[in-house]
Amino acid sequence: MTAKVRFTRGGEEYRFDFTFAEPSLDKTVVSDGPVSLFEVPDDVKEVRKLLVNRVATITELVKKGAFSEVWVPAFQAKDLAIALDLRTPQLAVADRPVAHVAVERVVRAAWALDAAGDIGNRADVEEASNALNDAARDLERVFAR
Amino acid sequence: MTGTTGWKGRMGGIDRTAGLVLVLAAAVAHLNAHKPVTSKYTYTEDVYPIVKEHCGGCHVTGGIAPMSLMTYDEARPWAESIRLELTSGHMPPWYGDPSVAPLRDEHTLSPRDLDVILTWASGGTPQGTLTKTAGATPRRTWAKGRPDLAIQLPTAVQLPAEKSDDTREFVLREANDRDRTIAFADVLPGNPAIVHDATIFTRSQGGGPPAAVISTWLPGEAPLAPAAGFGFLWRAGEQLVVRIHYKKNWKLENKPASDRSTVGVYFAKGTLATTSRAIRAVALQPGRATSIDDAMLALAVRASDTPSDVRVRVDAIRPDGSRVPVAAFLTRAGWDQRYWLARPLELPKGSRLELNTVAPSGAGRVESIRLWLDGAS
Repeated sequence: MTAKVRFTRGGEEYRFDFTFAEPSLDKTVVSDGPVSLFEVPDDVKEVRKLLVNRVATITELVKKGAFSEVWVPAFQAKDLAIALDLRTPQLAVADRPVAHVAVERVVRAAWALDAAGDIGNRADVEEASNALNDAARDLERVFAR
Repeated sequence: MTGTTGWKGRMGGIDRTAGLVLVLAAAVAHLNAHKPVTSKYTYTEDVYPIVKEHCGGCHVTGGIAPMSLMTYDEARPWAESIRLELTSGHMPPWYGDPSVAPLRDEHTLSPRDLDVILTWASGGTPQGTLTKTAGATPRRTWAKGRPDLAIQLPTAVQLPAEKSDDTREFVLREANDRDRTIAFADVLPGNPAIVHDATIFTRSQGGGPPAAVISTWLPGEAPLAPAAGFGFLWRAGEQLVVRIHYKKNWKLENKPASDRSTVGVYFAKGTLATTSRAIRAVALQPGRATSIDDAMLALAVRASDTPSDVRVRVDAIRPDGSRVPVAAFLTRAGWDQRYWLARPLELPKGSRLELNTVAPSGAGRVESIRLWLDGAS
């Protein structure tokens, strides 16, 4: 395994080689369960409020450059959006496809944020964050009617 | 209702605030070997039923897709690709935007199904308790039953080893003996591993542009007929032609391959054979309004030879000034298709059609898009 490290942006690259005598014998780790159980409320207004809140948190984290933390509110936003998807029959017929497509966009964007956050890619994080923001705004627009 | 954020097996985020830029050159596979199982969904219980229903037209052994997803052992190595294709929206290959205007037969994954597969692909790809899932091979029968007219390609197509991509055109019938109304057409690939897409159309003898584009065929999708009362007129004396795009996946690279597909034609039946309104195409140009001389019912839009990731939207402006969205979709090179409107849309005489295209960068128009509105007077 090789790690290539720059201590400053655009600075000289240092290479660190790590040699392992034999393949790792680590067994697959099964987690004990979710770190946080996240209760999605039944009340649509509450769900919407939480979704707006999570989107704001994501925006704040992205602004701060805390990319490795965005997955938490991103996944919560995704779960909230999926909960709203189940409520689309309450919407006007014309609004249902708008909501459905918006939920799909939130799900894709949340997973994209997770992946981009892991590797600290600012451009990808911002793109996914913007996509999630736009989709959440569309959801709020149709559910607020 | 309980939702979970999901536990995440972190491999260490990169702290940009510390000004340290790390580039790990280790193989991802190495890291995956240690990836903890965090997915509550398993392949056999949760993922397989979804991929079987939505991906089984192509992602089967011997299918056009580069890998089968029909067994755990086949799907697991492609987890990262699956994640990328789904988050980017490249798969499933249907790019209509029903939030702008309703469309027929959406080939999409529900948000929940999307989340199930992404959770599995990103969360350690657990197999599940069932030990077996049935592998699958491409469908070898007609999706909509026996066609009224089945025409095999006149000769077998040979793709030499060095050629990975090719388009061939065949005249299936030199001249129709009388006017006939076609409801739809289908393709039964001789070699499903290389038949990527096809267009079936009529045209004058001796060549020229298509008179009626009957089908934009893609693998894994059953052919769609227009709403009852509409059909494609195959005039007496016109040719019936198929243009097939062949594409080898990585498994067939540097290997010769051959195909002899069959085209199935389904005629309008009963009174519809003589009363159906003929579908005609109106060509649209980006950034320019196209006036309609006669009142028409808009039925579908389709593009051809598009580049990827262009946002396309067609609006109609009726003579009274009202604007109505007709259809919207995202383009993807190699996946051009016809998007049928959920309901025929009335466009009075004198309506104008506007085609707007937005480049992937979000700036500027894409002039090279070729798009048609299919409708009937």
